[in-house]
Amino acid sequence: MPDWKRTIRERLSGLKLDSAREEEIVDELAQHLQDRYEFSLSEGASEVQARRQALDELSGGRLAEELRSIRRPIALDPIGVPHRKGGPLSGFIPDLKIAFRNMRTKLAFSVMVIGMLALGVAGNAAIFSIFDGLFLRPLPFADAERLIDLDETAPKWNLHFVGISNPDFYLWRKNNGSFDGMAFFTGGSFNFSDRGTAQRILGGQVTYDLLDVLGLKPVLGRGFLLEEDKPGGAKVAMLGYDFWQRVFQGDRNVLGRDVKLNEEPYTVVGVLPREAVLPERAELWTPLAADPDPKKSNGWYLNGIGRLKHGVSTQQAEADLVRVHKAAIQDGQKVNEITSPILTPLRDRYLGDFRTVSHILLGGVGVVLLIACVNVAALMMVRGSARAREIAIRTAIGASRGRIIRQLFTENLVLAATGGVLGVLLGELCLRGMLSLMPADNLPRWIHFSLDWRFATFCVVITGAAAVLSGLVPVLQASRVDARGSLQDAGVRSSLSRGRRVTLGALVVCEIGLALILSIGAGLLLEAFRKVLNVDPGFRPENVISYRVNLPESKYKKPEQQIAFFETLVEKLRSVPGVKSVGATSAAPFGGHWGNFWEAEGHPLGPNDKNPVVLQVVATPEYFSAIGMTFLEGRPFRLDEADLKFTHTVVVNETFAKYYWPAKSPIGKRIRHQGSNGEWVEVVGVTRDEKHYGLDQEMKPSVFLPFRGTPQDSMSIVLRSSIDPQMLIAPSREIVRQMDAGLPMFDVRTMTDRVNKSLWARRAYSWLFGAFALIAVVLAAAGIYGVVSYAVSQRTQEIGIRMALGAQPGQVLRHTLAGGMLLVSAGVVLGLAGALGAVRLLQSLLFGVSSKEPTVYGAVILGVVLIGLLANAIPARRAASVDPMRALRFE
Amino acid sequence: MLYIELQHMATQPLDRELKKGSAELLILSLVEARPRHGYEISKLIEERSQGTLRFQLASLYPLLYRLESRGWIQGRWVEKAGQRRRRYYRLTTEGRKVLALQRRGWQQFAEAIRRITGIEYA
Repeated sequence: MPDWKRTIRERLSGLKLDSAREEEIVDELAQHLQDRYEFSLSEGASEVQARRQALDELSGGRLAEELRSIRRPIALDPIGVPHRKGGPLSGFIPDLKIAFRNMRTKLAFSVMVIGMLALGVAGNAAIFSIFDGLFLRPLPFADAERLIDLDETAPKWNLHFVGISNPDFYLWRKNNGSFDGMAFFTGGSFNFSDRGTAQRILGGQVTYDLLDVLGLKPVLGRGFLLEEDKPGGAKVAMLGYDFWQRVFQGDRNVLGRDVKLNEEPYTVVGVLPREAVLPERAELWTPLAADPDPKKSNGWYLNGIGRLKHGVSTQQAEADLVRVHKAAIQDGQKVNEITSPILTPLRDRYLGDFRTVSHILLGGVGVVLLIACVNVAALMMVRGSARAREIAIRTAIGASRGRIIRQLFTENLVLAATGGVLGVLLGELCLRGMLSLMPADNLPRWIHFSLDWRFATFCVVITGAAAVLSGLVPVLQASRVDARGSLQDAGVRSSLSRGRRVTLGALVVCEIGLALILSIGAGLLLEAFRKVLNVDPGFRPENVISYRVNLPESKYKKPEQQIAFFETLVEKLRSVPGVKSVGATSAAPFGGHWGNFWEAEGHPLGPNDKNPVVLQVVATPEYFSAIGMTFLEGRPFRLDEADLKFTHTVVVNETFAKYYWPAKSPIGKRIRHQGSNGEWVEVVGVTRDEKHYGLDQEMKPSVFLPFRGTPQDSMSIVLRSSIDPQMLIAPSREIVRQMDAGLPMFDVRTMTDRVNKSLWARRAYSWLFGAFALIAVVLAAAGIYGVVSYAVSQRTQEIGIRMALGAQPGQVLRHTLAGGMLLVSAGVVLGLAGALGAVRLLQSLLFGVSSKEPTVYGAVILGVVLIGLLANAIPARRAASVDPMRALRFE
Repeated sequence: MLYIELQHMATQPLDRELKKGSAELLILSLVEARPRHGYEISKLIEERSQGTLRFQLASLYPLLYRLESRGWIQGRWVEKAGQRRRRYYRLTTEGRKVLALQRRGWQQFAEAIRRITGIEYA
């Protein structure tokens, strides 16, 4: 008698049943085979025939697999008969249980799908939230879309925005027909003191109607009155909400109190609402009290905000103001014909710089979302196909099509929901991470970021739908075919139809293409960032610290006092141990712009010549060595080369020299303020351009003036140290306090810190984009891996036969790799074509790096191909190591 | 594996309806009158269907175990004199209810077919 038990035990060996149960099953099945064997013998079969017929009973299907599913009886539960009666949800709970169990048993697959969904959702939700905060959320003002930023533009001066002059603002306000209201303001800083404490604060000087135009009401007291907003009007102030809370602990009795601003008493008449966030970071407001007399005009310095009348567009309003402006020129009221009104929606004006970047990031995010969807879709399709057989069995033993679809739908839904929830949580983390990269003081205060739940939900729904639907496609097909055909097919081994294989391949190709586009974009941005980092700043920022000291007008009104103060301060600081050199300047690098117009002797400007605005920097002679500027020619000015009556010498920068004396040495040449009829001043030195506006910004021509000739009441002190520059802060404070206890020292920062801060946006978006590209490549690699692995597992038997017929492992490896790499190559070609079109959008951010930079393309293609190779190599090696005997026996 | 030949009923949608629950119905019906062992069940299905339906071991036993785990049938080892030890399956109370339900469904279905086609099924 054949040893049935041994044969059966072999079949069950993978099941790890508990031994008693296994023994029972073996006994029962052995008995069955024996019965069958004896029956065949009794029918006249030979022993060999009888044995074969009995064994046939075992070979029809996969006994072990069938039994394994029995160990989880609910998994194959959906038979047409309901267990219990119940509501429509009664079937949902068991479905859910099955779904979770399946998730656990196919852990690797589940983790992969959930991870991809989470990555896609997280990145998208976080970036979108930033985009949303910057551009989509309404401003904190009523009817904010009617608020327009007002300014003047002067293309001839090479300035897009110059500010509004007093006469222009009175003119516009009086004659326009497009605005319900028009308010003006300028930022400034005050030495604030109240009952013995002194601090430097930022404030705003505003016209009396600014609150009205913004549509806001004071939280306490009243706003400014028209008569307070006139030259010589009462000295009154409104406290900012935060300032009121911080300094006065929200005391309501603050109204009527006198506080000192720059040593002058101001009466508090009201407290501003939180939303009154203009001008930037202002802690309190005082009336602007601008003089309308054109003769007393002190240049273009005002910001303006207008509230459009209902139904008036920005363009119509601008045309209206231009009309008013031109009429005034014809009347001879205007002193200058170069400036003209320019109107911008408020948000665009304050956030315009981030718009391109945000769009590009959003594009990147969209691509990652797309890749995540495509990837999950491919994975789910593979999985759905792999389950075709299971579905066929369920159908055969009585499950209805709807029931099966519902079960799988639940499973896919559970995967998608888990991925989605995880994605949203991860998104919140991403957002916090990104915000920590953003220095808060570069953004208007009304901007707040929080994870945008609507969009997070949108991402979850999109990726979830991709997962659920793509998972169902093969199922719908599988459950439509007749059970017999499918079972026979399944008996051979469930495999993808040709059409579905092509679809999968196409999905992978798209993924690689998209990842390549993103990687090339990121490569270009990072290359640009590297280039910016390598830009010569024109000074040596390391070991330099700077801070600002402002002298109140009441105590230091005379220029002599200002000269005496700052020269003494610099002198005292020079003797502090560790100080190598020290200078004072009106504007250190990144320290703001003060422009004027200059002309060179013997270089008259034609009517059509550009008349570039020149950056004026006032400095003490030692400033150049303290900040570490390089002289290309000549030398710094000397202390004795200027006094209050006359400035003998100046230093110009490279751009200035090139503009006025393109091929000649500027040393000994003479310049003066345009149209001044004043004395000519000799140029004694040319410095290399210091990147005053940022490393990636164009430099304007600039002139350095000796402090003694042009004294200022506000200067930056720049210290170069031989020790850690932070160590110089305490002694500096002590010296300033000794000289004048009421003077605060503020904006204390190392130069390196300032350089880094000036680059934050570029750094942030370059690395963010890089991170997206990385995610994209990883997702694409996972896609290749998934699809090729699946193909290999499908073809195990075929490979086994090939190898049995003499194919070498090397050949199998090459064959499998070739198939996978074909997908990679197609993706690369597709991606290249897309990239050449897409990167043009990046051009404005590339800082001179060509959008066709071959090294970037080369490196990215190489990287993607290598990663593709790696993703292919793992399943290909598996294919090459197939044991032909095992593969054939497998069925 | 389960291998049900329904070669005489070839139209596909009907196929599916006919197969729906059929395997279970067959087993439950066969153990209704008295307990039977697995081989006996497979022989009876083959004989009574005159070879049209055939269960192989690899699909029959998993199905039996599944029905057992649902509590519709119950298996017990029985040793009869002069015979080897065999496992007999009997219908449980719950199984009886399910059988009644499935049988009614099947009859309604067959009746519907009959009304449409005029074919008499046994």
